[in-house]
Amino acid sequence: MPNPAADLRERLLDLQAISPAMRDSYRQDLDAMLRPALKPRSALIGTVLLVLLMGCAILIVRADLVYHVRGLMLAGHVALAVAFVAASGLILRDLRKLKHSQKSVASISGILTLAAGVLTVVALLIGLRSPSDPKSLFGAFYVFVFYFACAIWSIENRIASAELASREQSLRIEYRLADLAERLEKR
Amino acid sequence: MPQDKQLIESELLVVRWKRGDRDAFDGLVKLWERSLFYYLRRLVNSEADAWELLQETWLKVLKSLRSLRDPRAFPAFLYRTARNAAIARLRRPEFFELNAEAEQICDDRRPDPIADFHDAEQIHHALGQLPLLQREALTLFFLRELSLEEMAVLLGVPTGTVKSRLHYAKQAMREILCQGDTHAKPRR
Repeated sequence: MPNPAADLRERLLDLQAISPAMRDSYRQDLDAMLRPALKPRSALIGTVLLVLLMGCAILIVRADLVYHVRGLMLAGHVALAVAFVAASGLILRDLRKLKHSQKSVASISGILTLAAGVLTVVALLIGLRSPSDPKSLFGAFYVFVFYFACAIWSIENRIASAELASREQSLRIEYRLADLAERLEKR
Repeated sequence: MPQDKQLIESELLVVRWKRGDRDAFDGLVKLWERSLFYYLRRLVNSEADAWELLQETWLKVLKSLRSLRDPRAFPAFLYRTARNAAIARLRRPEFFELNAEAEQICDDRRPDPIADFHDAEQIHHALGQLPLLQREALTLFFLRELSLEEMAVLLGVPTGTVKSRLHYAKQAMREILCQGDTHAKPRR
């Protein structure tokens, strides 16, 4: 069915006189201004996090080498160091591409939660070996707090990411349906 | 492009941008550029000003898009940003003297007011001869991208005032079209 309002709108938009030179200048300026998309504040936060994570990974490796850490503790340290390096890699990739990606944030929170989970299990196992040692109790407690914080962050990110993903899928379907309806109307 | 499809595509692009797809913003610019330029061009005297305002609008949108909770509200958000940019640039007293003119509430309940206006070329020229506030309301009405409620929020007036403004604007446009003086110098 013809839609007079939409037709009128299109005809009005077509009637708008445009200077090609001004339009080209606007597009060039806009392209230059829209990139980089990363805000200075986000870039600063990313850089600080990158330095912190890499610093922590180096300190963990150094501690393992200097104090000859073995067994379960070594497994926990390796998990944490690998998680820090992987998170640093994701931050570095975003900084190089000058973008702030929700996917990267979700991946980083997931990686850190996984590492915190491994560390919690390690701390509990160490605690089981020497239940009378207060150090093991405190170690398990602090690691559990770290795991809890990472888990909350990760769950929030996952929920936000899943909401957007499902919204995108439903909108894609709606768009296809609208497109199909438009084609049928034209026939 | 039919309005429903455009709105769905717009929402989809906002969601894609929020998920980290940088190209989605270019898609938004392409999707809304023409109508937004048309709107801004009705508010300012020169084409150069309209392009500058359009550029400024996109930059502001990019900066604050992450804070937009509901992607469906993007058209209203976009027009609000553009209007604020125009107000800041123009400093026209009309924008601030809301309800100062004799804006009697008049509910225009005719089923299809658009049926009164067919000739796009005449409308395009007649729009330029209307007072600023009426021109703005009628431009938004013809662009068909915002509901009456969204227009009311954008213009900072109650829905009834939008209806009456549209009523008087259509009345004024009919008079202009009847006079056939559609190529006169625009009233600013």
